[in-house]
Amino acid sequence: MIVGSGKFQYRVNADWARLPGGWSFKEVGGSVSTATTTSMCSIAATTR
Amino acid sequence: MMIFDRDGTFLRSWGEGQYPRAHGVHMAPDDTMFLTDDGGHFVRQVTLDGKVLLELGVPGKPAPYMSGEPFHRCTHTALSPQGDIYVSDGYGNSRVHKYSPDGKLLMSWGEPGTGEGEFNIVHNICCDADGWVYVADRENHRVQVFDGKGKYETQWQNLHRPCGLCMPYAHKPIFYVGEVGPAAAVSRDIPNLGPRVNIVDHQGKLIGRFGDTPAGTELGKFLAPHGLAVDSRGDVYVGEMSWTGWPQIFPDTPRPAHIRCLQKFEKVG
Repeated sequence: MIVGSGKFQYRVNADWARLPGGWSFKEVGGSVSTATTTSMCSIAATTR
Repeated sequence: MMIFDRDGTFLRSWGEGQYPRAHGVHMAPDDTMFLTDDGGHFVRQVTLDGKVLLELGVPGKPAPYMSGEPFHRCTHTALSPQGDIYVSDGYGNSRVHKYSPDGKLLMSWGEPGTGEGEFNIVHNICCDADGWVYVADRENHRVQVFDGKGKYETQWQNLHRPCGLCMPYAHKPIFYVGEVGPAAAVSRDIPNLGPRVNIVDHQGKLIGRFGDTPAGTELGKFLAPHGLAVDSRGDVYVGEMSWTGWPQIFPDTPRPAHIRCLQKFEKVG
């Protein structure tokens, strides 16, 4: 699925984050990517 | 804190039990992070593996509500070009605080209200390479812009409940703004108010947008976009406070055990 328009079009990936078995996000308050852009961090509460 | 590689593979987590209500995160140029915990009333500068380098505020001990003293449910941080630390504060104050890089309080500004330099939920904050400070003044439906001494410059009023504010660091940057969507029952189903992500230039002019409204769990829709990040490819990560938002959005539907709260938007072209 593509969203947006013009220079800002994106393919939606809702299943990007692959969590360990039995884990799930509760909420994701913030996110950042590192300067080297090799990883991405999320603040989250989890249930196991 | 949960850490993934670019492909979404989970790498590690840390900080469990140490952050009562993890709310905001900012990545510094030196690859340290500034974590803002509104439940714990503190800001911590940490390494990528969670070692605490600096702590602002007293965990578990808020300043009096709306006293203007740091902190009462602080929300987010930004860094000046010189490394000074701005803290948005937040849910229980209407204030921006500025600290030196070693944690000395330099100044604060802001009062409750709707005028210039006044705030109604100071929710996110950014600072560009020229030192301009951008404040998501959520419940006043605007972003206010200040110089580094807290002097009001201008405001963008073409937003509805701007919540997440993300700025790839630059001179005259663009901004990704998460509008959290209507909160009042009377406006919940009004189209074209969010929740969605707006992309605006450094003067607040709308240059892009995604997220069909009203709120929903369908692909490409949002419940409560809250914390945004953009990587070097231009891919956008949108974290949502879906658990908190659900009862407001769907008051007659029981909250599911699991609700989607993270989507990646991969730049096309």
